[in-house]
Amino acid sequence: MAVDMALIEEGIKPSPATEDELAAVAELGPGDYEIYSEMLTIICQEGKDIMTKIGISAMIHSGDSVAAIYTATGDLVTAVVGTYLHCVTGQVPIKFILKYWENNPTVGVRPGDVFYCNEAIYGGIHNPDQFAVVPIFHGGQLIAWTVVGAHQAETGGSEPGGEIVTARSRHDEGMKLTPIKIGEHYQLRDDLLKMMENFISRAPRMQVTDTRARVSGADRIRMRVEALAERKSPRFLKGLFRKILSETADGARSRIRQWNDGTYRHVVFLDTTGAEPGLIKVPVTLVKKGDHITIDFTGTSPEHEGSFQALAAATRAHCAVDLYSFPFCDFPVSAGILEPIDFVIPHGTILDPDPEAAISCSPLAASAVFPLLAVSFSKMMFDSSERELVCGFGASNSSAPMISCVNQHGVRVTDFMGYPLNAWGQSARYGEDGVDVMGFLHCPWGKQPDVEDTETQFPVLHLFQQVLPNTCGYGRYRGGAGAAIGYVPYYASHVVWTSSQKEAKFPTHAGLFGGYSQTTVPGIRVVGTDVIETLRSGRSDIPVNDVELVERNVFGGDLILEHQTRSAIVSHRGELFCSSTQGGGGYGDVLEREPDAVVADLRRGIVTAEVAQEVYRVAFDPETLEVDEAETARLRGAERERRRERGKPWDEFHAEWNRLQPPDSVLKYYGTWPDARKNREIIRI
Amino acid sequence: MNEMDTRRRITEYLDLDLEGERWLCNRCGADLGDARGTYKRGCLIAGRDPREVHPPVVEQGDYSFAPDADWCRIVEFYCPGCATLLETEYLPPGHPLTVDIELDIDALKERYSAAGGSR
Repeated sequence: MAVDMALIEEGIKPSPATEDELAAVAELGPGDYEIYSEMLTIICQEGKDIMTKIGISAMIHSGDSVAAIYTATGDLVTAVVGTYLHCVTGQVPIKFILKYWENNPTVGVRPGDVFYCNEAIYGGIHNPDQFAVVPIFHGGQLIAWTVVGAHQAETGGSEPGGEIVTARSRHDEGMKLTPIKIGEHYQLRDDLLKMMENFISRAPRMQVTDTRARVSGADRIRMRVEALAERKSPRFLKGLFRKILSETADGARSRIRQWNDGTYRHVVFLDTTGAEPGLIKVPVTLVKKGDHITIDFTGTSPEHEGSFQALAAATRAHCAVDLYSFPFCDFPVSAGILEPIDFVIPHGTILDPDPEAAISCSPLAASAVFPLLAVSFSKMMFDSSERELVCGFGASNSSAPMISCVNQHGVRVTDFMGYPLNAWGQSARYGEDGVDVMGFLHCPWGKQPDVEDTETQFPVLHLFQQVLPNTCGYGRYRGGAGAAIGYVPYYASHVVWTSSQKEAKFPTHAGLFGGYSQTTVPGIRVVGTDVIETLRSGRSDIPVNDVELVERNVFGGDLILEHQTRSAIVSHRGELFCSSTQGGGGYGDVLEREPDAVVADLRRGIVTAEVAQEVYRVAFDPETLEVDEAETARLRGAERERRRERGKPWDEFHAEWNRLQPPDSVLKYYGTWPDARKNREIIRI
Repeated sequence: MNEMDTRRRITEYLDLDLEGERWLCNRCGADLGDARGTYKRGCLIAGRDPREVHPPVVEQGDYSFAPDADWCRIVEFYCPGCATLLETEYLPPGHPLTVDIELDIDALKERYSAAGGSR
């Protein structure tokens, strides 16, 4: 069966309303929409809570999950997240099952069935994301679907962790299940669970337990929706579902209509293919006319042999994260928001490569859309009543190291480290700073595990875990800071680390209106030493973050600075592995930041004295940190003069600028310079 | 449309004189050029080494805590009147500048005329 691209591309749009649905909407009584739409959301919350309580992987507990209800034809009605990614991606598997399996006599769709999938080609993000898909019946009639899913950090790929940074094709990435039936008559099939366990032999307990967790959550939603249909009737639900979709679509169109018509652009650059550092271009052109928006990624770098690329469905889903998080954050999480929005995602680029491509690190490529849409939408929304939603969102990094080992309890585990995943800084917003160590940008409800939780589950100690200075983007309002995180294997002879973080060379610019970007952060290790012995020695000058470590490595051994994207590394007991996070972009001119706010940042360790003096141009007493207002005014006036001196008119600037170009080694995977068109063939084995 | 009604604040630092079709600095009122083109043409522009803004922790080596200047430059756009930093771009050296805002001036005029000069 060939890949059904039409279904995948159109599957996120809601189906047009039928006359019968509209008649059912008209039959709803006063208050029905308000009361029962909320009830559906509460039902989803219950399903998600059940999955979380049963499940064991860090990503379930950190919140990279979804529990959602869909119409009988597979349109998203409402969801509780987790990450907005998955409410969009749940639609395509349902529509696939309806199209290919419902009338297939060897499969069928019947009461008590449980379907399951983790194949990104069928509308997902990447194969670590696994979903239970359950039809809901009443009186033999299919009335709805539910999908409950979560990321799981092991897929049986060529490296542990599920995000296989060195993968060169899909064949390096492990288990990929197209939508299959794993349960009938309300029972899971043990033979298929055993098959999964066999694929996921680095973490078999997690695979089977979390599969049951997803299915249990979905089954509770099924029971609740069936009960509601029994009480109110299937026709009532049909009208309610359509009303939610149409109210959301109408609201989205109304909001879009009030923004200024025009074309808005932004461009960001990634700095790795996964397998090796390389410059990758991702631009967006956003065309807004009337009540319609086209989001166009034409000009994106061509696909490559690495794993930092995303299928188009994943790119669209990442756009949905942006849309649900900011411009439409006060709307129901329904497919209706996407009705007035179209996407242009050029095939053959890193945002839609060939289906044979490696895409297990797709969130690290597709999340380029986070700053892209945030910045371009902010420029469109500023002159509107949505000005308070203006925000650069954050870096497009949003990942973490993954650990694989036998833990102190003798259990084979492979999992994400949940704290760094949920420790990225938020970009500055209209009128206020971003939030420090805000969270997981994909997942507004993500939860950072406590140090104690992590150390109970995995055989590591935390050398440090706190704010990392100078990671935020500077500006009138600054971005939130990132975090310094250092792990030492302790209760095991060794562990294996991988990391799909990026932006060690080039930050994805999330600054707004003259604000600076968040900065880059390298990966750091100390090898050939025993940090534990140094701690036991009682030294008082132990480094408490990456910068201090680099400036003062008291542990001996070899200090390694490297790209954040790291393939499997064996780390022995006592060696140090740092995996720190970036902040968010700044907003506005640094010279407009209140001097007292700069000094407050200095006191809290958000910025260093060097940045306060050399970037913000604030004068202060080095002992008391009291601001010298007069000297600050003089320094800022002098900086404006320097700007006039170094700033050149358009033509004069371009005469010099146009002669520049990055080295060829940097442009190996970029495409043609500077327009990033395809310039070589990809051969996948 | 009267003069007050035709001046709109498009971003933190950019005003639009809709009747005169000009970009203006929100802070000092300096003229930044034809509103049917990019305001960036009316700015003073500087390409900067990112290490001037993001202090490196190590001076040598491939990874310094600052963006790599071989890969990345900061392009700053200043108001020619008050030298406010209106916009920044992080671009590879020599990469074309981004025309980030192209308003449909005719649609805006029609809209605000129909609304009597206000929303």
